[in-house]
Amino acid sequence: MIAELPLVVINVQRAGPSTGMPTKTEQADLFLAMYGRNGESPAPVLAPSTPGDCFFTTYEACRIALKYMTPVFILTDAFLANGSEPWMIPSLEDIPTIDVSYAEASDGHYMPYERDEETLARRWAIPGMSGLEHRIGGLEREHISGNISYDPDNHDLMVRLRAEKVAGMTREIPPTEVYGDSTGDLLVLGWGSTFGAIRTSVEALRSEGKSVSHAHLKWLNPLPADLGENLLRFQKVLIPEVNSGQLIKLIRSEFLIDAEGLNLVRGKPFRKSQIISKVEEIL
Amino acid sequence: MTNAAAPTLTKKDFVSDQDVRWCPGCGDYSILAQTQKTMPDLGVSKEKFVFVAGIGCSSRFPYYMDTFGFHTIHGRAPAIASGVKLANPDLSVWVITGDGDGLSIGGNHLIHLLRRNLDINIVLFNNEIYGLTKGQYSPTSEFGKKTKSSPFGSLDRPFTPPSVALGAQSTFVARTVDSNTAHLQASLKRAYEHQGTSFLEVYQNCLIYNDGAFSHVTDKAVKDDNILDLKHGEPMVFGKEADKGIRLDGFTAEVVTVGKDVSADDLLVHDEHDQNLAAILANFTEDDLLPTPLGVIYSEEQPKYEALMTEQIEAAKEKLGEGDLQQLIAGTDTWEVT
Repeated sequence: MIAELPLVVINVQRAGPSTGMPTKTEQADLFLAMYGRNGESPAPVLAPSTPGDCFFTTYEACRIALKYMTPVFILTDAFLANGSEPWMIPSLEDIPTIDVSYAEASDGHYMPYERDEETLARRWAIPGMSGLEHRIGGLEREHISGNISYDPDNHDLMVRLRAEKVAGMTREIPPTEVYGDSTGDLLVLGWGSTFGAIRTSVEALRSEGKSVSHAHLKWLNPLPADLGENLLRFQKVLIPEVNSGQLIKLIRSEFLIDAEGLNLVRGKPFRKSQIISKVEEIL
Repeated sequence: MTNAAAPTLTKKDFVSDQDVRWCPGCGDYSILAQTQKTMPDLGVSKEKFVFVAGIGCSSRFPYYMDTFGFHTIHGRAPAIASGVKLANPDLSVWVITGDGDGLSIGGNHLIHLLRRNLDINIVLFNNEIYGLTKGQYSPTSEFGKKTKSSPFGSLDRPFTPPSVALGAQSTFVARTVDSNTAHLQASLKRAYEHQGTSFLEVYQNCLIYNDGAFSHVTDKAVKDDNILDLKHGEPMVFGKEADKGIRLDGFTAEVVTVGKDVSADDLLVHDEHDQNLAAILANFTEDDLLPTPLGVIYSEEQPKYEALMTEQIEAAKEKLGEGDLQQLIAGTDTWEVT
């Protein structure tokens, strides 16, 4: 985190804690990805929603890691990892190249923590690049110079800069897609592998004339900038998760919305009937 | 790795602009100075040096070298250094660690780097104490040592670092002392020259928490009688008057007086390529009657991991052709549905 180097961590979640139920699925590591570090050190967190989506989510995570010089967490789970679906294999020509830019040697001292004005990404120089010799490490860095610093104001600034860098990634997130009407009685909000169960449930409920819509998050940190306004267009929000309530805590604290949870922590993915009966109970 | 076109470097080129934060009188200062003095002689251009450290007093080392440096995770410098080396085998990669970082929390990482034999140089500062955390017993502290964390004496049997390295299939094992500047410089050079993972233990005095731990090999009055300066192909003679020698009785080493009961021809001759001899020498420190071996205990030529990796990739390319990412993604078990 403090080194601000590109890294992609793929967490294929399974039922925990500890070795738990190794072959069973769970979505219980969201808080681990969000907060499981010492100090305040936010990182981008992405979650694919289908087996095929794992490909593009990983590509996107690599792009973000390199563009912003940051570790990125991907949360999949046992259900996605063991799942399959028809998937149109992409042509490499259609996938944009990820451009990586390195620092260039100049006459002055290389400043490893000088940041890009827009992204706040620091400049990258790798061993072997002449004139760019520098040291990085786990101790707090001085803004711009990257030297070790215990200065209180500098630490406060660096904590904020690292957080601001991650918060600014909302510029990478496309507008939230709402399936169904953009306003109504209930929005079912999901993330990760629950996509299929939620979508088929919402389709069934809508065909019965229920005012239900579905939105699914790929970006869990930062949350999409337009998410709050989308949530407010519905009377109620239901958040099904294969955990005892993690995304719901983020949503409640971020948007002060009295969302409801559907939480089954049984090592199994949701069934359509479980979601439908919960929606019918709420409406 | 050598670069003939590199400009002539001096010690000054390797001194960073950062204030050194070790305690006054720490043995680390000498190790830093000898490293800065030795690096210009290696014929490597400056940008090719990478110093990777874990956590601890010793591991602040990279901050003081004006090279690429990474002060990483406690005990994990070997893993990160392995990545650095494999990504760019042209680099001269150095791992700086201590008896705590390298042998406690990082023991596992250390042994696997040693057995893989990447061309990385490990310098382990052994002060037989946890210094940065203010004086608890370490994996090299002697049995019964009273420290803040062992007020009635440590119950742990200590590691002998060269024995650990040999047990992990290390291809180069040497030992030196912080205050013997010439020996330290020569040892760093030998470690660099070795093609494979080098393990160099440096006896390092911690003035504050374990002062005098190595006085038997640093005090002028007694050191000559306690140091066995290993020289390949030469008989093992030591002592102020160079009148003592090492003889083998079966597999047991013993000290004999040269001239009195034995002639120089009866003495053990050092062969740094003999693994059995190395194992015996590494164990000398556990016997109070035997001198402490310094110098190259063991060296052997084995293929370097990165060379094997490159060979394997080339052989696979030759057999299977250049890789095709599109084909790889498609796999062999896919079809198109219309």
